[in-house]
Amino acid sequence: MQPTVLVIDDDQSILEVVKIILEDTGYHVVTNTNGINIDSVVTTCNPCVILMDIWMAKNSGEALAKHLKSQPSTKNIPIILVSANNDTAIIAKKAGADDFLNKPFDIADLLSKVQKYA
Amino acid sequence: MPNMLQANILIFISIGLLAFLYGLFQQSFIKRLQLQDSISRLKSVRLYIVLLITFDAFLITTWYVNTYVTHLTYLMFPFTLLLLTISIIFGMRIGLASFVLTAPFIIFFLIYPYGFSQAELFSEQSITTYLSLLSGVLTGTSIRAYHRLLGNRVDELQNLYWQTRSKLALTTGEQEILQAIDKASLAVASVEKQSLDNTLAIIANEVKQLLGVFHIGIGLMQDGQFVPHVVIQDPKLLQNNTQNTILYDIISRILSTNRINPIVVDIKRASQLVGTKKMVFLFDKILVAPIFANNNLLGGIFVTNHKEKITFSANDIKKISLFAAHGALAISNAARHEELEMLIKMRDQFASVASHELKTPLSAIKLYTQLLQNKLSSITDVYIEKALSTINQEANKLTTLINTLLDFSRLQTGKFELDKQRFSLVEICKHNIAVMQVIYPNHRFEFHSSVQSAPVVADRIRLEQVITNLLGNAARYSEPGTTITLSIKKSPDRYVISVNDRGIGMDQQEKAHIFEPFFQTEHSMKSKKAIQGMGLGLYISSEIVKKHRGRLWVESEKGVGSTFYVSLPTKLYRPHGAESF
Repeated sequence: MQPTVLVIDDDQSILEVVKIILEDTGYHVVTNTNGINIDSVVTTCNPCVILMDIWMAKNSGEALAKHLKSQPSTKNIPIILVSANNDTAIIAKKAGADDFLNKPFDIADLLSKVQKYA
Repeated sequence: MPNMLQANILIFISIGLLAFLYGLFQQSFIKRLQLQDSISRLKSVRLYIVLLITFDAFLITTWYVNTYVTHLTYLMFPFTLLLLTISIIFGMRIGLASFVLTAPFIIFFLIYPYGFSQAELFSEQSITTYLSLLSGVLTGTSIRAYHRLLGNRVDELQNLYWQTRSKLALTTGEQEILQAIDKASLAVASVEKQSLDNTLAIIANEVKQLLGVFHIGIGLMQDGQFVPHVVIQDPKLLQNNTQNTILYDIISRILSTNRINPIVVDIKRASQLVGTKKMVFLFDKILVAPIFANNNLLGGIFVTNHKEKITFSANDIKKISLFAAHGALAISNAARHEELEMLIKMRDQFASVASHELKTPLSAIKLYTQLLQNKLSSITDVYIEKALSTINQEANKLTTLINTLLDFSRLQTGKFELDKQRFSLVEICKHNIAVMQVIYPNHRFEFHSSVQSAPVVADRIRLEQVITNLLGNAARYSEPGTTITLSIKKSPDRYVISVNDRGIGMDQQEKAHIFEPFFQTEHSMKSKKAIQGMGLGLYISSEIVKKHRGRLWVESEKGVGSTFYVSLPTKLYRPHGAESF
């Protein structure tokens, strides 16, 4: 069975291209815009790793990561925070995320980060 | 047995010696009088002088009585005493004159009343009489001299004492004020936003000490109301909340009269004016000093009187004005500091938001480009189509962002110009609605116009930019499925375009700043979410409208929605072809 990657972003273009890349590499990809209903989405798709943007139009990836890491059922799911921010690393650490990825990133960066956890 | 003359000379010498010793004693006493001697001690010295004179008189009387009581010549005694008294009171000259007058009188009428010869002028009796009378004059004179010396010294010391004391009082008063000003100035110099209340507290404390009051407050004016920031109150004289509310209401009214000088107000009369006759205060007068900076009323200082300080002097008013000036400095410094911090914060935020916004479209472009490179042989036409259209779309976003930055920079440097042409506002509105409906298919866009065409001569592209910006904001800050209404109405000389949404709306605070550059809503600043764009859109729109001699404003209610209005003059045309409006 293919490992599932949950990708959360508010930018439709990013969601689409990341989905193409990861599916092509052999992952099952679930995308979510703005992190809406994140709890039920995570429970339903049970991802091996979550790739989540930090500054989203309707939600803060930092807050969502903190939330997931505080829930017993989701705290063991690795989270990679993604942002075009200049201080992604610091925010990821503060939020208790497992890793971070700076936008704009290469396909190789994306794959190596995801492969670390799935 | 010594004869009478010898006895008299002996007595004379003894009295002289006694007077001399007595003088020495007094002199040493005078010398010991010091400036430090308190006023009460100096006063007691006066009393001491009187006692001494009495004692002198007593001493001399006793001597004479003892000496002459055995002699017939005791008749001399009252005259000697008379000369002594005259000498003490009037001095040596009058004493000697009296002697010259008295001696013959005594000799002619008392000693030799029944017969007198020339030899008798120098008889033993007569010489005794002379000596006796002279001793009276000399003793009196010396007593007078010593007492004058003593009195002078006392006067001198007393004067010196008062002079020094008043000088001391003056300097301590000035020193106190100087020290208080020093403290307040130091505090003002280091004032920052978070320490404004600390600074005001220091000022309040200094005023409290200087004026000797128990109840003092410093506050700022907010929406015409006095809002206390620092209040120092004696625990024994605490007021309840109702009293405080009325007091602050009264102070607000006093300050709102925009008077510049401090004023003393009778609280009873003032509380009648605000319609609360029954309220009882623990004081009956307040001194209120307004705090002004650049002719703007910032706030005020108030102090109340009490039992020990019944009223306020002109000096008190002067002092409080001084500290009101300090308060003004502190408050305007803090405001300036806050403004500066805000600017720095905005700059930093702008840098991070701008780079974020620019990097986001780049991410998609980069990934698609790499995808095309990697998979060029196996990729299907559909993929290529998708990739290229996304790259194009994201490149367009980048262009828009860069144009926004460019517009901002032009506005800042005053190089923003309009390219006028004649066109219809209705037409561009219809066009924009259609475009927006494609971009936001889940919102319902409606258009109403009370006029057919609304022709203007203006910068078409710039006005389209304004309408796009307002419609885009409306869509971004409202839920899909809701309606966004664009409408045009005409008043005699203006067109009013409005964009209404049923979105999240804004509070007063946000409304006040929304047209400032880089503004992000408080909500988005705190949570770092919902950051959309660089916070320049509305600023640029409002500048564009201003350049058309129009006005852009907003009416909004939190949770209900917002309506943005653009009002433009109908005659946006200048016959002499000015380059820009």
